[in-house]
Amino acid sequence: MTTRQFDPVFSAALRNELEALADVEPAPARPHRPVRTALGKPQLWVSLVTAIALAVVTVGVLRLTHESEPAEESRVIPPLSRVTDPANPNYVARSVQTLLTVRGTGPGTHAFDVPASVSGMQVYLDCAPDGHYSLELDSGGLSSGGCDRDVSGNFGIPVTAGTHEITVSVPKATEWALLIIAKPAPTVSTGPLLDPLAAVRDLRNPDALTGDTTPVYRASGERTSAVETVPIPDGVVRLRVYLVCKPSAAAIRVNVDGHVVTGCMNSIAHWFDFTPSSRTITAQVISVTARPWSALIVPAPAGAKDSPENTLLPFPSTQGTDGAGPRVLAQVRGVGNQVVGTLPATKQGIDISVTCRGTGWLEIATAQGTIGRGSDCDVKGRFSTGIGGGPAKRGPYSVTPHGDIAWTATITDAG
Amino acid sequence: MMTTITDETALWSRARSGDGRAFAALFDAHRDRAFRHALRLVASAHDAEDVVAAAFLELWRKRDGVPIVDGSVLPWLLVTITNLARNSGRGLRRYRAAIDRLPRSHDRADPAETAEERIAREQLLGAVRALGEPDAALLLLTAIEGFTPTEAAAAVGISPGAARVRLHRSRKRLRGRLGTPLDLLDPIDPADAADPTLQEGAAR
Repeated sequence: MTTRQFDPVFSAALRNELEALADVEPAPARPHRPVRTALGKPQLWVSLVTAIALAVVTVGVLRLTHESEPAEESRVIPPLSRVTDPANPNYVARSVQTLLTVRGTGPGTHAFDVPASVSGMQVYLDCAPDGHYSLELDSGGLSSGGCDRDVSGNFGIPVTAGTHEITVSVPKATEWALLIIAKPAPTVSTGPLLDPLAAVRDLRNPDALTGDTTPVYRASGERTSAVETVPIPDGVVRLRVYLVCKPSAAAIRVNVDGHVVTGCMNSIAHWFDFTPSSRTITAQVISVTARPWSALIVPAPAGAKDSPENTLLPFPSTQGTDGAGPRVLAQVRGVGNQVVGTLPATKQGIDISVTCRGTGWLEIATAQGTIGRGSDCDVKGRFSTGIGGGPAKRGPYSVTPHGDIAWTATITDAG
Repeated sequence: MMTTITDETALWSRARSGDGRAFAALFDAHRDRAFRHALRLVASAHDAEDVVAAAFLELWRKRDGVPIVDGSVLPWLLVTITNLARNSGRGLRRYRAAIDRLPRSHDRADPAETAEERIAREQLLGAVRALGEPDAALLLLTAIEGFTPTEAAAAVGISPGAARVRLHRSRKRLRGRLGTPLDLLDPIDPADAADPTLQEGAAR
């Protein structure tokens, strides 16, 4: 029974059906129940009078309290000041699109509107004193944890346009500040091809370099370049390599001294650093199709370490616990770019495993079906699925990233 | 403090608020396991696909009352699949028209089932049909799917104590009925054997 696979055609159709079902039939709002029908007239009057009396007493107590005690300094740091301060590690940009900023003490629920142009949001919560908090978005769990004065929680989440409600659940005495901003667009230009040297020297760019940016190697073109031997200036021990091209460009890679990185974006947000083993290196850009590209090698900033965001993702493991593994049909990786290829014939279909990082999703199309549509690639996402389908003839496949993601994919024989 | 998002809870929340992509992502996440579970209980892969489709459609229809167990809708899906399978397709009627509209591969032959597989499946399905809905679901969730009695209890909507008693009784009942050893009748928790609440005549 284990050899049977979910019919890929039926599965894809069912998936579309479910997606459409949720899209066109959102959860019904709780029916509005007028107060007058819920309470009889006498009860309504009693409630109103009680509420007014309580409000008057509360205002009086609050005035007395404020007059007798000096105003206490707030214990939470407004998140907005952190995300707009370039010196802060949580810096996002000098100007951000705020969807909600609110402070409070004790539990509270707040509504906010998300415009149609926004598809993701970033949530920041500061709370103090130490205690436990939980956040709910539209009555669904979003996040929970402990309050910490120094570093507050922040995370990104996709969101649909419209009005949403966020609920902060904290102890009564806990003070908090909540900020929701529209998730900034990836640092990828959709305009003309960037000049990587100009971009790394443009200090308005968050990925700019402030140190020595004298080019060690600089080249641009549309086809595979000649192999160049490049001397390394005295005093330079570590190099940073950029390859810029339009994300839709097909297979393109840069080979510097044997370090090969496949894929590129119209951005300087992705690079790799390496320490050359001699005082000269070889550099070549290999481009299968005629697409404009631009490559740059500069000294890496002093003290630079390989950032986890820019190190190569490993290929998903295909090894079993006994060390054996299925036949690997293809292993490909990229940063933003599409990769196409051909898969050999199989007896039992294929399995696909993907590792991805960034904001967006990855679509893998084969003759046996397409997977991955709409599956968000979070900070470190991975999915593995047998799309099976029985014996398959040799056929093409494509891996298409949608968004700003780095990815690797391993396709194996399911037999 | 970098908070951790419970991905599936957030996905389910987004799906319920009208995000089709989120609901499709939930389908992607649980499709294969749901299919394997259904395949153990029905006669063919075709029937298993129908049951899985009905379970996901039911998930949407009952979205306001679906219990999330340990941050996941999977236990609820597996319980629903068990119930749909043991009711000989009665539960599928509601969705029959919708399911029949979905295209299928025409050249896909269902691989031949070995005699051993057929016996195992029939034995399992017979055992499941001999039990009531909650008992069947409890037994499969714990013995086959590896959930703890507490998790299975939450999926079925009863207390953990009641679940353990029901599991004990189900195993005993099936042993008496089948008269032969059946792997799924073995307690997964050796402590069950020593649990005084699971002894003969224990209160429910």
